[in-house]
Amino acid sequence: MDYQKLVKDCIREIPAAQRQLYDHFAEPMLGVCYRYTKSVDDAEDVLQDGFVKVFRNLHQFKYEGELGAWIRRIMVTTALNFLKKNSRYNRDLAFDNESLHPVADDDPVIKITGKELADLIRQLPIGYQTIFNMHAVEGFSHVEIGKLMGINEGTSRSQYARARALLISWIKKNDEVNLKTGLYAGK
Amino acid sequence: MPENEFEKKVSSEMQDLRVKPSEKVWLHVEERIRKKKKRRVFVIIFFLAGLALLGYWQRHNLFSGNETPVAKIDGNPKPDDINATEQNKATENKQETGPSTQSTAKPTENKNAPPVKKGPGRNKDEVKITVKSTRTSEPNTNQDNVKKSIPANENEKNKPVQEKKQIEEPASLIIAKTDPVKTNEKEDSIDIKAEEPGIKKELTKVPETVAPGNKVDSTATKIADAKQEELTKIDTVSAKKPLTDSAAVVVQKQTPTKKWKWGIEFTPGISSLNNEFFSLNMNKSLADAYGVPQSGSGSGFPLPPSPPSESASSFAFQIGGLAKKQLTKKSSVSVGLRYGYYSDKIRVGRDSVLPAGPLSNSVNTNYFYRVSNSFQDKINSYHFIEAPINYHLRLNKNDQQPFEWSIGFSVSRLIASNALMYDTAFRGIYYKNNKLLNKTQFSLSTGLSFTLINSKNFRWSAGPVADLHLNSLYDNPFDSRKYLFFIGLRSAVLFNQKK
Repeated sequence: MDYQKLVKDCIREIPAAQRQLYDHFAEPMLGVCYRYTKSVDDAEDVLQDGFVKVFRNLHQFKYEGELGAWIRRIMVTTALNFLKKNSRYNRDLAFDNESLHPVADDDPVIKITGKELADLIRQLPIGYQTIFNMHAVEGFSHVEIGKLMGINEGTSRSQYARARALLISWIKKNDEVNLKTGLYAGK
Repeated sequence: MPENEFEKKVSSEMQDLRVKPSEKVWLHVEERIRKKKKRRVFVIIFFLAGLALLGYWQRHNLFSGNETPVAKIDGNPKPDDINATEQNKATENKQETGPSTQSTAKPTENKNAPPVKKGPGRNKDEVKITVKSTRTSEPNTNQDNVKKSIPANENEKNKPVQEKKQIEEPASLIIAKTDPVKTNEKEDSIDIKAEEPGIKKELTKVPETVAPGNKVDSTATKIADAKQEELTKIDTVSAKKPLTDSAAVVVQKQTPTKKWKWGIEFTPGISSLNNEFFSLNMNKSLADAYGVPQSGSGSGFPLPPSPPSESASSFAFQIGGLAKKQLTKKSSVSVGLRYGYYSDKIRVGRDSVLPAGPLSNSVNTNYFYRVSNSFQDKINSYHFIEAPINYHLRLNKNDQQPFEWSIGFSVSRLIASNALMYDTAFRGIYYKNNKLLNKTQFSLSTGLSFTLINSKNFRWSAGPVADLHLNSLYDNPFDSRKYLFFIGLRSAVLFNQKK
């Protein structure tokens, strides 16, 4: 696909080009939004906001990197803003230093599908979920996460370690655990 | 970054995660981006409609100056008016002294002037006019003579000085080159200056004197030798530092938006004075005065004063410097200092000596111009120093070639003017009296700006602007309020800072 022409056509606000861009990136970007939220409806809301931002700021895309990565970045920041603004999420974004979960250092063999893994990640408390997504999937450093979330780098590290340990324990128990009951009831 | 296998696996699994969205998402996205487009179009249409309305309203004032009643009297005077004028000369002669009764035009300047206007006293007027013209012309000729005589001497005197400067310039070059920070800029300046004849001599002489085999042992060659060595030393020093300098340039280029950018602007255009900006009604007293029924000398009523001439548009321009700072991605603010020349055109009659009286005592001029039987255009000029502040809003998405709308406020100070003031004395006259001018002015401005060239070194933009002064320029109890209005085509160049 010729992204350069597609972007230019979108900047010229040609509806067909806009639809083409949306169709091309909607599914992977909803995958991103899905990981940061607790419901598909919320993920679609984030996707909607994100694509509006994409179309409004497409003229700022400099063709220096991949278009997909640029859109993905917008989706992540939109998701973070959504979590901060939405009352159902932002009260759980308050981080504390309580040690709720054991820390696991080993690397388990992941035998589950991507969708199942995403569902497990979404079962994490929202703070863990967010930091885990940002570090393990998006590749943000803890310093960057600290700046974006307004927390200390150390808090980000500890939260990530706990999220990781919890997720690993769930993966290990994947066959035995009923995910629908929710494992993190202790929070 | 993910540090071990677990993170890598998770990352690779999640990168490929795809979830199909429902169709309503696109419908909402489409609705929102179309709505924004509609809103933007509406804002632009509203703004253009406002500009068009303003232009239409101003057109009435700017281009209707030649159709004033005064001009019509001048071009084709009606017999009734002439008779009335002649009939009232007698009453004026009784009431007023001096040249006010001589309200005829010169035959040479107005071919259509009727023979009725020839009469006693005209020769005196003609003499006065010629005397005035010689007064104004004499200084010019003297100045010309002075100017012609001075440059020849000055050039001869300045020549050796300039040559000395050119010879001394290589020394300044050496000093300039020792500045380790601005290496690139200095190199440019050296290239330019090297083309100057004085420097060429110096630079070309040096290798000749140090040529191998030449054993000339003069002090000049020693100095040149030392300079050459110094130049080579500095070249090697500067050659060792480009990495740090270029790194500094790169770092500074990353944050250019929040800095002030300096530039210059020039705005040619036209200006005019509008009557009663906030009200279309004239002063009540004036309206009453002009509304007195026309009457001859036999009725016992004196003739009412002739109304002041309508102001027609005339040339104007603004020139100055500005500094602009980016506030957000789309908005910026600029401040400046500029000189503004504005003028308007009125039609007046003969000039005459101001008779002795309260009016002549209050003003510092001896002449006045008749309002009636106007035959000449008079340009009133106003010279301002202005301090504008403008807010700019980018209307398009392209930040490389922005299309901006600006709105601003300006404080101006009148520094000079030759404007004529209207007075109802002697049935309507114009005379100079700068005391009746409001010297401090406040104005609002708006305009559009299209970026024509956006290069690495500068940005050139141009677009229409309109300035409307908020307070009256005239503080004349016998004339209506006059508000200065200016429209022009602004051309601005903003320089990108080099570091």
